[in-house]
Amino acid sequence: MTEGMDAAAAQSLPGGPGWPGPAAVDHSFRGAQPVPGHGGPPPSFAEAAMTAPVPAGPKGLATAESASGGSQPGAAGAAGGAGGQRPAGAGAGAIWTRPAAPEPGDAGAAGIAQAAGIAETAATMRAEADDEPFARVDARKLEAALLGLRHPIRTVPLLFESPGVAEAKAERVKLLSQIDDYLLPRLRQSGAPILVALVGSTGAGKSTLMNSLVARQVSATGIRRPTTNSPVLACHPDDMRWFAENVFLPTLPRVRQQGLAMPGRDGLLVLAASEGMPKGVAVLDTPDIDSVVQAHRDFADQFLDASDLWLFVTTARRYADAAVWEMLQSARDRGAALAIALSRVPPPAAAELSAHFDAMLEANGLSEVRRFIIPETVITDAQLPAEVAAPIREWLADTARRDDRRVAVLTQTMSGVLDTFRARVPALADEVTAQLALRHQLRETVESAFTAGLAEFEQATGDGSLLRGEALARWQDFAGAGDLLRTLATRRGRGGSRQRKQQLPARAIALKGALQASMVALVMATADRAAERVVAGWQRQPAGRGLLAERGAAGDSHDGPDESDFVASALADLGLVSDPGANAADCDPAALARATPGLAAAAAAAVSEWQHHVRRLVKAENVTKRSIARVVSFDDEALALVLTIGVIGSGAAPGGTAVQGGTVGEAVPRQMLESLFGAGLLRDIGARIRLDLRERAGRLLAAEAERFFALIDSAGVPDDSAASELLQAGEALEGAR
Amino acid sequence: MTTQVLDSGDRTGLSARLAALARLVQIGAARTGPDGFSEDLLTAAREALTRAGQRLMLSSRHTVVSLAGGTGSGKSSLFNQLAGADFSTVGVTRPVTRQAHACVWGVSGAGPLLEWLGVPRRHRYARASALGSGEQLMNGLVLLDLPDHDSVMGHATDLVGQLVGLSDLIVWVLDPQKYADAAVHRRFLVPLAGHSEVVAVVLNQADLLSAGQVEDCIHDLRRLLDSEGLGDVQILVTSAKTGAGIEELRKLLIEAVTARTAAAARIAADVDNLVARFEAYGAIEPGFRTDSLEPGGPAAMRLRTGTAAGLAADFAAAAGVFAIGDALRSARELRAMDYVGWPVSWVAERLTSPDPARKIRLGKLWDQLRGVTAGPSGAQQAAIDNALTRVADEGIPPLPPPWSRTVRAAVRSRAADIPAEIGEQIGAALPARAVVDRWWRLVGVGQGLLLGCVLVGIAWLASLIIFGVAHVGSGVPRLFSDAWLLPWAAVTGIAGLAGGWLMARLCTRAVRRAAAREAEALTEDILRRLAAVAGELVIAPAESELEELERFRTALRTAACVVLPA
Repeated sequence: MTEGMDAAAAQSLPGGPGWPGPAAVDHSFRGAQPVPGHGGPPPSFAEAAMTAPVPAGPKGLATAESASGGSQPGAAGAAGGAGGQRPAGAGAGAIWTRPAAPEPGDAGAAGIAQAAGIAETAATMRAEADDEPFARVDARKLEAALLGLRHPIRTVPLLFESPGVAEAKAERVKLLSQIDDYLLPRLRQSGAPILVALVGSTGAGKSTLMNSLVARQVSATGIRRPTTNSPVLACHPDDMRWFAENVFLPTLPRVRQQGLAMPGRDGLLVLAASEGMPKGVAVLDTPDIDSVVQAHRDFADQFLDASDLWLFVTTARRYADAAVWEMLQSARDRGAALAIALSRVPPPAAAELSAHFDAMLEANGLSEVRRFIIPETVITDAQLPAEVAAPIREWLADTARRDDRRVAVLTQTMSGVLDTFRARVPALADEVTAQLALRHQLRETVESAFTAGLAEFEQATGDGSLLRGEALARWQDFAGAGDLLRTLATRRGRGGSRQRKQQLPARAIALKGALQASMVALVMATADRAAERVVAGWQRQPAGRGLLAERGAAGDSHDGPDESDFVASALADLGLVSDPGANAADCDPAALARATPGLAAAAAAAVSEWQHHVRRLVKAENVTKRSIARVVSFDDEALALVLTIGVIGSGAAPGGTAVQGGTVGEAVPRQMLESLFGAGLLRDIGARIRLDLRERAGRLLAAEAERFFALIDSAGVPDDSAASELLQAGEALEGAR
Repeated sequence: MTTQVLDSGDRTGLSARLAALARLVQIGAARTGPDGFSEDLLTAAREALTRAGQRLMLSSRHTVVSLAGGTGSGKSSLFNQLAGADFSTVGVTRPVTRQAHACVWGVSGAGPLLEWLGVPRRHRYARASALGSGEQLMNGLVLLDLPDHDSVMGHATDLVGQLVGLSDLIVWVLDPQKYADAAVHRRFLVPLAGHSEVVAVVLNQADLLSAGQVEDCIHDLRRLLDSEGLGDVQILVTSAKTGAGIEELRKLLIEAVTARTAAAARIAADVDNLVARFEAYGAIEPGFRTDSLEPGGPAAMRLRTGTAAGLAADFAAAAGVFAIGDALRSARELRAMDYVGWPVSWVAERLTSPDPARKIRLGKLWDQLRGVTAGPSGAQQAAIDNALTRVADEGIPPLPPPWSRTVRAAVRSRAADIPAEIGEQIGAALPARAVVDRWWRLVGVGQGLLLGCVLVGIAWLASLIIFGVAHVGSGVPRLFSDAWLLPWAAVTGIAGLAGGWLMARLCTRAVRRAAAREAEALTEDILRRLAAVAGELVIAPAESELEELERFRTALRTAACVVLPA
């Protein structure tokens, strides 16, 4: 390590989101395209490069290693002057060197600020330890912050279906895998070899390139697409220890390669040690990103998250594929260190192709990325000719050897990943907030449905519409046939009254039964409608649909007992006996849109309770008119019956229609009631009776609604502070950088 | 399920299938929603119908063949080879082809077809003048060179998707490097499953591989296509560079052009795909009926037996039919009492019972009852709702998703009208006025006579006592003063009393019997009427929805029908 190299590193870092290595900016390609703006690159080098863009000779590989000493165009040049400066307060204690400069390009602005946060001077770094140049004094702090973030991410409540939840779940997995597979291992073992992932289209020749780099066949090549089914990791035997099971991608099963080109089984990571690999760098051949095998894509993503440097390989035939650019854009957005190899270039068209490719890279904001061109050539032993692969090999070895390059790579990728956390963690927190809102919305649906149900019940008991059909006919029969009078009037005198204490006549019993039945029917219909409204309302919300589907899937498994228990306890609260077995059918999802099977019994019990209550009221209070009470005393049961009729039938006639013969439900009761009780008293006691009825119905409906709340809770009860915890942990991470 | 459809003769078979598909769409469109027919499917079916209709109207003498493929697969080279001229640009940088190009062999009548395909005029080439001897056979071919489907230019992908939809025969040009790309398989080949007859795959650039490698590659490609439901697809190996395999490709095109079946086969394959997607909506659970799609047709779907009767009973309970019967009976009895009752008993009762509630005059009751019951509130809405819920839960046989909901909805479609209708029917069933039977009046007259008899007896008795026993006045006729007549007078009075009481008893019994009969008849009448209401307002809509399902399944059978030429 010389002072000169440090200086070169400090000076030549472009600071943008692209390739940061001092030798990385390939001006020969840049120069091939006119570069507008930027104040223009210094003509000396760029011009020279422009004149001979791609050597078409047998080596055919256009590299610009020599550019390392060259000056940077535009903003990157300015970066040299501002090297070492960074915003005060950011990343105090960080030791990684990263000369930072304000970046004019907006895409780069975030990246540079971040880089500044993590930056330190190379000198400090080297002062720490020569063989562990990446030890960071704040590594422990950062690690603690990451672990602090890991927990809230892992426990983030994503319980309900919503348009964003699938993405959020995937994002959670990805965040965790980035923390577990890359950030934590990298922090804990900063001396581990740089992991270079070979990424690219199917058939691009990744495996061939890999074999050429290792100078030995370690990865299978072939005509069939996709060829590589399991990833192969090649490194120097001395570096093998870094990739042991418990350190690198702990979740992935792996196998040591025995013999040449052993095809690994799908899903296994093949470890190949080769003397041909330079020390301090490991190459990973990943499955393709665009073949028909979807699993490869997920697999590749996992490796990309765990890698320090991506070497993206595409071909002359493919470079305009949409899939390629999606991948490159995601690499750019991630801020990962990236290099691109364009392979299988037919030598005659090399110049035209590379120019076009450059233009496309530039248009996509990747003009700073290091490029290699591999010509279409004869493959022997699944390897490229040595001279074709040499520049890439050299470059890899150089990256491993030179601390400044190494630091730059590691810094860029790690800060790139951490940068993305800055937006992704709050996004996840937003999703959590959205989840809480969803839960609230689900509960609201239930509440409003049952509140509306209670209102309907009140309306029906208040407007006389309950006194219709059977109940009305029974009342007319009872009252009209004179039984009413016979039943009501008890002769004066206690003794006589006791003697006459007898069963109600058949018509009165029928009337009482009809009243009870109609009120039970009303409760049932109200509960049915409310449940149906809840289910319909939930069907309209993705979260509700998810819950209902889940319930359908769960069937009568463990969900059942809870449900019955709950209903049983609800009924017990009401002082009712319940048969838990009757609620077994309750687990059927279609039954959710109906009242619970136990409700009919509960409602019947509640109604007769209420009838008792009315009777007690009649008995306790001297309700009859004094003038009448002087003459007759009344049987309180019959009186209670009459009062009930009076209360539920006293409202306005439904629709106010005066049908031939009189207003519905009014004439007879009103006339009689007022003659018995008097209007004022009737109003007063009627209100009390109605209030009592409402309370009972309210309790029944609340018990019905509880079933839905229990279903919401069965998805899990989220912690209200989950979002803020996540945000705090995210901020703590920022602080630790 | 491929269909052999001949151009002229079997277009009718195809049009019947298309008409059936249109019916499926029509039925489905009325039943969308969260669990209903998928909008995507309906849209796809509508598009397919439009496309098929347009294609069948356009030239049947032309066959549209598309060359489709990824960037750099060599479509344009093949196109130029086939066309025998450099119409389409070939290049090294990607993507090259950005617009569709068309070459037509035998121009006449192809104009509207090309307009429909949307190929710009400047990209149309004609081979009419240059028809060589071998090319005579290709007369009627419209060859399209499609843009790259997988390039960074998204609009080109959409254009490819559109033209692939319109083509009669699609030739996918793949190359050894990209033959397993997700971009072509996911987006294009998988949706073409079942189209084996109108899809061909060409492995181009075979010159880059050795013979063994070609073999290997073809094998792998075949495996992929098999897994995608394209097992019967023809695979050709070509090289635009060396010209190998071009003749086979040309032969394939000639076959398609001379047979003229590709257009119809393409449409038939589209219909097959769509019908397969519609099938789920007509699948009835195996337990309920197994012969779901057998020709011959199963019996019409019905509600479970007993549903209508149960519903009518529920309605009767909701309306309190039996209570109405009871009330009618009571009212009749009470009314009759006014005539046949024994007035002496009334007086006795009135005198002994000082009840203030008596002012509710029972006679008025009947009119009130009638008015109340016959109104729009003839039955309780809640009870009716519960009855309908029971029908929906228990009466409907198990049905596939959209139908179970729509039949339920049909059950409730007229729920709001039911109480009023029930009230009306009850009103119509009840006697118009409180009828007074003639014999009641006769008895009433008799009772009056008997009462007169009693009064006469009492008067007579009194006069006998006054004049005969007490000898108060004189000159009184002997009839009123002879004490010996006392027994006769007493007998007259007692006979009157006894007769009246007896007649009241007897007549009351008769009245009761008559009232019970009447009430029974009324109840039966109302029950009949309510059954009719239930049938009209609940059962009929539900069954008509079930019939719609039947129609759907019939259309499904027609649309899926394999038409084999004789």
